[in-house]
Amino acid sequence: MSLRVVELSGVASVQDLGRPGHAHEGVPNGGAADSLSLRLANRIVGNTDGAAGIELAMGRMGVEATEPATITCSSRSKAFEIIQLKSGESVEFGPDDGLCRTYLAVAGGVDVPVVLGSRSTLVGAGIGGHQGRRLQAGDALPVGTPQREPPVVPAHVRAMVDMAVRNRVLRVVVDGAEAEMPPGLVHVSPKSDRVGVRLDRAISGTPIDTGPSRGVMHGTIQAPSTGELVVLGPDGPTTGGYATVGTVIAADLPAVGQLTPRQWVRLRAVDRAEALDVLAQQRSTLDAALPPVE
Amino acid sequence: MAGPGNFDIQWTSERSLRVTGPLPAHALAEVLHGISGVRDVVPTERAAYLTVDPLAGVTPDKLAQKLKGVEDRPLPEPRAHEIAVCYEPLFAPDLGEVAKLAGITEREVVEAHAATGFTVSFLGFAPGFGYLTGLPERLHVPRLASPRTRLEAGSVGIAGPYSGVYGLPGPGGWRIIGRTKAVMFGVEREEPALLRAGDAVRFRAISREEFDA
Repeated sequence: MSLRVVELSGVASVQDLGRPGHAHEGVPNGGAADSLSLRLANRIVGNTDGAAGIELAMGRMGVEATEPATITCSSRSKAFEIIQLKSGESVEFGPDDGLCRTYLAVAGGVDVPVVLGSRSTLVGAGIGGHQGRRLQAGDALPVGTPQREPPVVPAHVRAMVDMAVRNRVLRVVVDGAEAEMPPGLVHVSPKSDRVGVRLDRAISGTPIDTGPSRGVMHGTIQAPSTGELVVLGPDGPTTGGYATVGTVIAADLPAVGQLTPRQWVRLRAVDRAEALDVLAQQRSTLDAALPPVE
Repeated sequence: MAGPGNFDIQWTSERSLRVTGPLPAHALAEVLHGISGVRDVVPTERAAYLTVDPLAGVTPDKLAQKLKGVEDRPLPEPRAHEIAVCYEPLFAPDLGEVAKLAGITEREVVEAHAATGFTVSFLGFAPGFGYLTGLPERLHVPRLASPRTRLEAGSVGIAGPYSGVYGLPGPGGWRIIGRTKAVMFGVEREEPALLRAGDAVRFRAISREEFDA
């Protein structure tokens, strides 16, 4: 059983929840830029949260099933509905109003080889996913055996996830007392990708000197030059010498993954306790509505 | 916030911490790896940086408990690597400029680089990329004003106090003075990165014939 890519514009790759444990080797965590949407998509088709799906950025995609398959798409037009594909039947999904990325999950998961504990594609290193690269029309992705029937999905869980990933007030735990969040709205640059989301004209002042390298991760906000901030993405570096101003809280990383060029966002400083509360609440709301499968 | 004892342990976000103490960061990292709830430990020159599962209940106190007494343990024996490098002009587009900046001949640049005993300070930038310290001061040259968009795998570069090997093809702003066929990162290996923080590295100059053999 496989899914064949019949049509593709935009950037698509196989992603799961990433490969922790290798950052000391220079390997970023990787994984879905919007892990919340992938989690929900997986639960809807009866997968474990960590099953691999397809992440599509800024484009349209058509996939055809070689045998009957149960899938779901996060895009608004498909609205996380369950779609039963017959043999040879295809589904199209694509750019979403105001969202950068769309996720497709298939019952059984995309069954590409596990590399360093994950099926995620790390394009920069040419590892994981489908042959270590972005997807192309014509690619055939193997699909695993579904482990269970899709659960009944309460409607409000979709709305809850949609609201979380459309959040445009990013909460940040700041580095030290001296770091200040830029006041007002900041602009998402088109020069954004899985390595980092660039925010233009975010801060004023003199260029910040590079200091000794420190460990950085998905969500770290670097200030590489005057007027610009970079929120590191899932495929960002593991160390960096640029000054940092803070870290986007874990609960808001899915929203960062959904920022599209030319959108405006606001940064708001929060403390660690609030960051943890928000995350715990996000997880428990999702789990209460649609529990994960083990 | 600092834990008890000789270690300074600070939150850097709700899911990350910085740990410093009276032993090298790579030795600290070795102890911190594998603690329940710890996802990643990245040693850098000055500190070890931890990423934790935010809801797993890791605290500076708990980490300090795990670190108790580690300063009295012997440091892990550093591993030694010899990496064969061809410094031929074809592989060394920046050798002339480096010589000019350093005020010495190209030959002297190569000899100095190959005579240096380097230490892997930390890994980062890209999978398997080690920041090697020990470069003689006269070879401390600024990085290129504008990075190259694509370097060949195995490109050996210097910038500031560091030398390093670009193990994968990709962009890079360091000045390239040679090339190696050593595989810096290979997922088929049990430990994909050739280098580990704390390792010793020497480069051995080889001829074009030896490189091609």
